[in-house]
Amino acid sequence: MGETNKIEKRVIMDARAVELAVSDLAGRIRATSDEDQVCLIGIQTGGVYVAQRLHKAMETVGFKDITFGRLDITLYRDDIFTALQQPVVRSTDIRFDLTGKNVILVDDVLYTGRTIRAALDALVDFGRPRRVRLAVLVDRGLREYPIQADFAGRTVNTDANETVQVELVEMGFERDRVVVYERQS
Amino acid sequence: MENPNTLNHLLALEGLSKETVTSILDHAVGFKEVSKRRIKKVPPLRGVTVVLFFIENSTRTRISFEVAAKRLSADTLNFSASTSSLSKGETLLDTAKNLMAMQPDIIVMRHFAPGAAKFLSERIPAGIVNAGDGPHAHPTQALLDMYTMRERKGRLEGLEVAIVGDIAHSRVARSNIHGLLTMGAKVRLAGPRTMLPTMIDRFPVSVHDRIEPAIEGADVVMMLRIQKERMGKDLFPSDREYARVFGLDSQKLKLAKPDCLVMHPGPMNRGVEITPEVADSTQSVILEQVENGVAVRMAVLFMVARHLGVSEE
Amino acid sequence: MMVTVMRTRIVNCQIFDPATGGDAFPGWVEFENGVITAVGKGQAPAPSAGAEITDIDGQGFTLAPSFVDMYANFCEPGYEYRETVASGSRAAASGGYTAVCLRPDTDPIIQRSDVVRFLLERGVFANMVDIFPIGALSMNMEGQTMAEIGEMAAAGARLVGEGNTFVKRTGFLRRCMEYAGNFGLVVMLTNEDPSLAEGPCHEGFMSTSRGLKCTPVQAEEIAVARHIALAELTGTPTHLVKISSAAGVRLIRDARARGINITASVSIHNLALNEDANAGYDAMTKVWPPLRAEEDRRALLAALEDGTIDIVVSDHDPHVIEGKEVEFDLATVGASSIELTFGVLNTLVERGELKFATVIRALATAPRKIMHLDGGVISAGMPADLVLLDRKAVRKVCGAELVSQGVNTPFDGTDLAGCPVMTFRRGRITFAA
Repeated sequence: MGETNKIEKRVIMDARAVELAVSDLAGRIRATSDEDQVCLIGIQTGGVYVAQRLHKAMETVGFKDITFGRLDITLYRDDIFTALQQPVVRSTDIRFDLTGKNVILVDDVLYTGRTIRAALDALVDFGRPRRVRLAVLVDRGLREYPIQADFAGRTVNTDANETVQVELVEMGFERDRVVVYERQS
Repeated sequence: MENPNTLNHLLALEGLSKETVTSILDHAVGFKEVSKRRIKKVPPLRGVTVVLFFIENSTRTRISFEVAAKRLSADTLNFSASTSSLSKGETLLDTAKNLMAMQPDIIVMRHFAPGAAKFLSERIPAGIVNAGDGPHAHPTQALLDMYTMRERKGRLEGLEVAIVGDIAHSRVARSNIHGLLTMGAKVRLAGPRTMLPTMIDRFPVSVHDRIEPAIEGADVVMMLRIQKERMGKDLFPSDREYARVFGLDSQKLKLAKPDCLVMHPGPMNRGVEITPEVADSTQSVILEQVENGVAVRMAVLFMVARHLGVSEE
Repeated sequence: MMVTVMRTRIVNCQIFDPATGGDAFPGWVEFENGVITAVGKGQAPAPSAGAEITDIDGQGFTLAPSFVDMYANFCEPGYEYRETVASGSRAAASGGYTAVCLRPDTDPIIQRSDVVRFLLERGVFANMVDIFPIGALSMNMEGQTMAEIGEMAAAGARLVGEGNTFVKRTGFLRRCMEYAGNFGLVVMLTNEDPSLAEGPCHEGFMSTSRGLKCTPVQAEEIAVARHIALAELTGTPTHLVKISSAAGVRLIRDARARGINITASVSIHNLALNEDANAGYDAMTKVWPPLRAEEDRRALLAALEDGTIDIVVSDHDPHVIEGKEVEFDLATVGASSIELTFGVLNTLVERGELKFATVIRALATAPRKIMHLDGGVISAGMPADLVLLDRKAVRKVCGAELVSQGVNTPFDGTDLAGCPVMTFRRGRITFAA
């Protein structure tokens, strides 16, 4: 995460927009869920922060019993040994059986869909959920796999030479933003 | 420039940088979690063949590696001394070349001769993981020992670690000494002089004639196994005297810090180097060592496979 | 351990203090509770009124630190018909000794902590000298399995060695020496390669002319070289017991120059006698190491003077008369010697072959240094372990009348110049002539 040599091109969400998007996601999940218990699984690392925000927002709209987990998908990636960067394996923390549960998988940015494919592979090892839906803060298009988000906070068009980054205060940034950067070669 | 997140081979801890050792231990944290899941398997080594090439027998280490490989979804093959062609006079090199016909990606090897793992690493195109080459090195044991210490104590830097027993014949001792010094721990050695290798004090360690000064104020005490095979070899009078003078009992353990960890690479001679009371006490982390062994070996296999993957590009 | 509580003084004597070097000076010494409290020159001051002081008149005698013997056989346990710790202690006290080291070759051998404790207790019971058992290196001194050296050290042993037996396997001896190093012990080794030893005499002119079976000096030379090398390898303090040859002396001198941690001793017999003593087939002269050539004897004297050899040992080895009243070849080996050592050495002083200061160093100072014992000097604060010596008295030795139970001495019938007259152990008189 985070490359050198990039320049900021445009800010697509500011702090207020992020806050509204998160509440909006919570509301839509409420409207389409027929019980109070859901499992939020945040994908390391950006998805975990978004999932924590979503957790708070969902309590506000009436969810009573939200279980929370973190999922590291490094070991399930399809480019695990060939990627230029070699990410450190972070921790997975799912302490409950997913069988029969209403799972909401959460990530910060939906892009090619490979991360989500890996996450679905991993989830299967933790049980057989009743249903799995995907919630993301930003959908930037350019899919390489037949994957779509059930709930997206904002949808934007981007180019392949751009990166989209979610920057939140709890990650160490000054203020909440979602920024499009252009890679410099 | 060495990439701390991959391993070309793992032959010994000597020469590995602090960053690489830290990386292995950090990866092992993640893999320990896998062993707590309902389905104890992850896919990264799917399609990778790991051969367990154990010329010197060992059930415990071999099984630990086998479990580690399987939990990474690798395929394993067993090759042991009794079933091998080595007993028919085939040289190590020829045997290994024949193994290569099965196209193993990684060979985990244990052998009587020091330097055997290095020998193969220079001649055959697989990733070699040394599971013990004579009295020279046993890097994964030292790594799991350090993992255990770090997990319990939160650090390795500045830890006072005492290693007691047959240092001269112990690959566990040698690898631990290298690893602990690299990671900034302080090492104290104790044992009969007949079991201390000459000039061991060229390493920045303190050497003691008795267990008491070595263990005083220690954070960790590691007892080494007295191998019964040594008994006829003039090195000390009897089990009884060894136990009284150099063995660890509750009384001597009081000299260490109150939360001192008691470790042992196994298998233990209860009543010789360690009393059953101490071995089963709350300070003993001997069973944790075994559990951590699988996680550490998963990390090592993962990092070696990663190097192979990169080199395929 | 009994001590005199009373204040005691030895007055009007010549004080020989190794610490001050030089000659003896006229003076007095006071001690109380086993410790020297004052040392003075010249006339002792009159005791103050009411003070309870016992004065011992040392007129005509020399006061020196008491002697320490590092190699003796008191034959207990197992051979009590020859000597016991009690009788040997009495003989030692009469020889001016307050401490004696005992060889492990008893029956049972000193190879377990219980025998060590037994001997320490016997010494306490006899209450004459401090007993220091030497633990064996291997079980039954067979050179196969290490004895429980650590346990013996815990029981109080400070020295280990294989008695008069040569450890055949060099590699095994190495391991024993290394292991002894863990416990701060001194390893005491005798020096004769048995495969070269064909008889009890020195291979030289006397053995040829008398047809006696003999052993060349090279048997000692090879053993000394081996032990020096192992001392260098292991770093364990090593004492070479009873050097008897010029060849041995040469090797030790060289090793000391190289800084190797070894010390050495010589027996009174090799210092005072040479192979000529065997001329009459007198079994009383059958000792081990054998009495060697005159060149060897002179080399030993010179080595003792210059410190290459640190100490003199009695090699006390008493036997009943039956063992010696037989043909030379069949006779027992050894002499009862502990009460005679000062007389023998002082006779050599009178003959101009040794200095008196060397004798006191060899009997009192240097043994304490090797064994890390307190004392050996006459000054306030030191233990009152002292001996009053008559350097002039001439006495004929009579084997049958020795304090020791043993009767065997090559000096039987000879005149010795000088003898101890009173021995003090921590202020208590253990012998008075």
